[in-house]
Amino acid sequence: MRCDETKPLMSAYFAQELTFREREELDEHLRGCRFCQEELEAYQRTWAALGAWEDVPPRPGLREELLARIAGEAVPAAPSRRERWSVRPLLWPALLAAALSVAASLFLPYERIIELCRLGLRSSGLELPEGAIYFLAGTLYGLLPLLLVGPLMGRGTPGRSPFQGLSTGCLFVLAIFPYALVQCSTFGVGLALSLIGGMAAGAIGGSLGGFWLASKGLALSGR
Amino acid sequence: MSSRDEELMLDLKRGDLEAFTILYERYQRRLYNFILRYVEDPSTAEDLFQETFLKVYRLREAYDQKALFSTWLYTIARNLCWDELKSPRRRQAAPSQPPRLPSSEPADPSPGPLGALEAKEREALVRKAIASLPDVDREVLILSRYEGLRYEEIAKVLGTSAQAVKARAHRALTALKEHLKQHGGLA
Repeated sequence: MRCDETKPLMSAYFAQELTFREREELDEHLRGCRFCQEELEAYQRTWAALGAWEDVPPRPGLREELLARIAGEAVPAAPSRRERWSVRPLLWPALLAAALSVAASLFLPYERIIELCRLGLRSSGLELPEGAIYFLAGTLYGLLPLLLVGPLMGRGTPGRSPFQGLSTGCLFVLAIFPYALVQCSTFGVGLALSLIGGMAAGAIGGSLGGFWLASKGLALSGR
Repeated sequence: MSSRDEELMLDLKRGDLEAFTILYERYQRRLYNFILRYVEDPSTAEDLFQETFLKVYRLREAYDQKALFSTWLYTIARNLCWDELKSPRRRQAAPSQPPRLPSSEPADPSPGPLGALEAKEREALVRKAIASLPDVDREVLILSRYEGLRYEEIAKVLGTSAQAVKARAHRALTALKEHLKQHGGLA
């Protein structure tokens, strides 16, 4: 080891950061080099001199002030990854939306809405195929309930994200699917699929829109 | 009550505030002195010290148990200190405002008033020498010499390599050696 190679090792020497091999090589060089011995002693005196700046204890009241701030802030815990991706808090808004959709279909059966859609489109001069009319009717059964429960979606769902809105829509579709299938059994496969597809599309749109409204509302309220 | 820092953080995540106070007691002195040496102003140091522990509390859910708590704690504190030093307010105040530092008790009061005075002078000289270092070298020196952190750990705190830490530590100690030699600080 040359003299210029020993210098970078000297500060690491006092921080006890030398490898066994580095330490051995340095010691071996020091045994035969008076100049580097003196240099190491200078580093040693510097290292020791730094000890003159001693620790001071923190002010005694700091602990109490800190704990009071924590108690006063009542900081909500940051959501964990599991919480952030959990669909459990979204289950009941989805079920509520499905219940609303079922209730709506009891007052206004699918056939009635389909008829109203057909009349509405005709009066505005639009002639759409039957499948599209069924799709449109289904959209209303998905869109409106999820828009209505939108403000509820933000509650109890930490780290709100569009993913949660989308999940609510998917859960709604899963919940309503058996009921819709039974109700559409007289329509024929193509029209039934159009209506249920429309319902799913409306649910996705409604859940994202509802969730966005919920987020806006919560942001405005400062939460 | 579990005793490892990382286990205490797990307890804190579960809502155990007692775990937080144990961690506070364990690190308060080291952390306060680290921040004080970094920002060189007691009132700023107190603010940043409280902010650091507040962040520990607020970010408790984000803490990854695989990481050493001490590394995480020093990372938070160092980032707060760094932001403080780089803030425009601080930069404006720096040239006209000499660092206000608390006078610390000498380690051994027995040498008498003269000895205490000499100790204070030595301390002032060391503070001045450390303050003259570039920030990137100074933080490495403080973490290594006063906090006793390993180079690997310092590298994690600063987000750099252990090799870079080694180089900065050497540069810092060499500069201090020259500074103290010039000002008669080396016995």
